[in-house]
Amino acid sequence: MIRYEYGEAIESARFLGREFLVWLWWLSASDEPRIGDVEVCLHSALTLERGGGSEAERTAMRGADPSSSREAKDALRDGKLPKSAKLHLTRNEAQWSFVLHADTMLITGLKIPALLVDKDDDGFSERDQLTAQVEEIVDDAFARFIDLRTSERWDAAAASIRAWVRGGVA
Amino acid sequence: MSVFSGSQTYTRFFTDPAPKTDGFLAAIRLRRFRDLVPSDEDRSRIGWVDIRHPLETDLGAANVFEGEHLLLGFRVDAWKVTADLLKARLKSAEAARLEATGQTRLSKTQRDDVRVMVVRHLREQMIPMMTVVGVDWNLNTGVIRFHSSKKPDAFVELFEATFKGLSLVQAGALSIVERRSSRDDAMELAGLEPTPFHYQPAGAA
Repeated sequence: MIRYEYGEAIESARFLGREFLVWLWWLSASDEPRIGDVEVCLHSALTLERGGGSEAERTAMRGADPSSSREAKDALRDGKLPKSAKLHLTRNEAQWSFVLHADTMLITGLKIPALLVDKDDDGFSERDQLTAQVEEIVDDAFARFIDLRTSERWDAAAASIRAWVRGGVA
Repeated sequence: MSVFSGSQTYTRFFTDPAPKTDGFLAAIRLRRFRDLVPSDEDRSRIGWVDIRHPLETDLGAANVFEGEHLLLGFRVDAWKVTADLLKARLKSAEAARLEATGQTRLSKTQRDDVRVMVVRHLREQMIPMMTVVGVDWNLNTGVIRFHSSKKPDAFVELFEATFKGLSLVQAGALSIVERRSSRDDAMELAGLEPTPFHYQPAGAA
């Protein structure tokens, strides 16, 4: 793999992580909050930001469902984008929860489904598989977002998202 | 350590898959952790340790490889002396030196000597602060989880010094797309403009 030597390219594309979280948020608020066979829910922690560095204006919310709060929508209408959000992903009976940090795709506080291990097994293998599954889910979701984002369908999707931000349904 | 239990916080990196691990153990042993001693000039030291037993620096196949994974502890030890403590001890030591020499003022060289002596004495009374981060490398997929959210610069440096020829790319928008598609597709993203969601730009639907 070739290492990126031009950090500018990486920096200039950082906003895509935040747009990805907007898209996930919009999806989660819709009648079909799913990506493929994965149900998506934003839950309990959300931070929105406009600008960067010491000049950044930030709105941070915690609670049962901050993403559906008026404060969250006001922040979006004010031009702030989600910098991090706590996500709950469910596939069949398995559920993962974690905070996704948009700018770096950093995952913090990941909780995986309960392990089925023998008492003599430290569960590393199963734990690794369940962690790899959620990485695959996130990467797949991001790939679907990028596919939409770089297609002719994006303008229509962005218009729907704007309508939702203004106060319409997703 | 979040590699084995509890909730996980980690930074993801990608590198080329490395199904052949010839030479890896020798390279790891070359950069295994070595204790800080008070006489060291270094304020901190980094190196590899057993991921399950951070005080263990004898690294072999049994405690490094697990299936398709290479597991290591990234250990950093550092002398941590508070500024207030150092300042107070320096003041005391300089006063003692002035009294012993009958001088009214110490030269820069003398002050530097006093500082070296004070720092060494403090280190002899302390245990270095230790932090260990779990590193989980899937050799088949090339995915590395560095179980920390702190800046990974020192880890990247040690990794690339240990496993020469392999470089790390931190997971992000471009690297995820490149990994799934191609570098050309990833680089196209850099040309995109942000989409405003709080107002309708001219010409938009």
